[in-house]
Amino acid sequence: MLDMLAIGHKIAALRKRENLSQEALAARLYVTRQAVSNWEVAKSAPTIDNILELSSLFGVSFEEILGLGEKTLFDQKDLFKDHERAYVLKTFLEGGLKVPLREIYDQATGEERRRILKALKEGRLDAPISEIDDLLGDRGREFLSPRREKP
Amino acid sequence: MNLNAKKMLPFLDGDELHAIVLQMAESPAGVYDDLSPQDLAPFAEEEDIDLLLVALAGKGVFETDLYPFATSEAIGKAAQAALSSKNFEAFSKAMPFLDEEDADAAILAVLKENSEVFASSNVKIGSLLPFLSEEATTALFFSIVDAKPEEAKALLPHLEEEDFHRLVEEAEEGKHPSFDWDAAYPFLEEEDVKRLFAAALKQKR
Repeated sequence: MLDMLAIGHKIAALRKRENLSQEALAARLYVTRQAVSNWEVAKSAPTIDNILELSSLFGVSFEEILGLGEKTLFDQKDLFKDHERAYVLKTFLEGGLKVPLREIYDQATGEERRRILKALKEGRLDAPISEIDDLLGDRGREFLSPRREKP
Repeated sequence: MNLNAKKMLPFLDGDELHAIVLQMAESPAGVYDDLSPQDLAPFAEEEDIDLLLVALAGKGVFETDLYPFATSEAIGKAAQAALSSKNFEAFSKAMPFLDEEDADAAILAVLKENSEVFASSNVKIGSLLPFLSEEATTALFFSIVDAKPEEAKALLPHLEEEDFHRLVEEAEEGKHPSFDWDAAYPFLEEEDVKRLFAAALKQKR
């Protein structure tokens, strides 16, 4: 999965390097200024054609704009800082982000916590549940408990 | 003497209720005298409700009011029958009552029988997601990717790396021409992103 916020920051940095305003860049790509603004804050993603045009305009490869092959750095105090939240969560669930379960669970939203619990329940995430036991609540514990069989 | 069967229900024992259930299960529309399955549901044993629900579903009669009284397993069988007979309303109503594994079993069994079943349905696929495992989500995605590309897009955040890999491979074989790759590329792994962009570059030249 790509980190669209990091890509947005990269586009903004390249734009500034070329001394272009969002409006000027938008005009070169035949998109609106709002579209460029949205890319830079990961509110929307540029199309594949947009990326290829940006690559040509800035004289860099599409791999560079997309951050392919680059190591992602996470702020341990704020795991989601400067990254798209979905990217951080997915990286954690797939084992690419090695932090204690409690750290990410503490910083996760309700929906993100639900995805973490689902991964724990399905055995896709190997982490000690005891780390978050006091944060689970009755519903969380019930969700994680094995299915009740009919007597 | 004119007896009101509904008023008698609270006073019947398990065997008597079971006998009524059997009569209902055998009747074409699931009724017995003036009694409907809904009348019986609060008083009958869960086992009897299961029996009735599944028997009626087998005849194409979907008593969705029985869902709150039945087990997830029986509701799963009724949901499967509902899907097979393209009764999408009865199917959708079953979902909140199903355990994930029963919801999965129902969907996977029907997709195996007819992989196009959701492609022609009015079921809001996104509304099923909270009830499904990854396996069923993947199966659903590939069953609608060509017929309902907009709805398929909503499933993208829930797919796994290997699903995207399969999607890219199938696209390279010429499948999924109407799929919106602009929406999908942010979810791909690096190698697949490279393949997709390389193909796009090749097309541009």
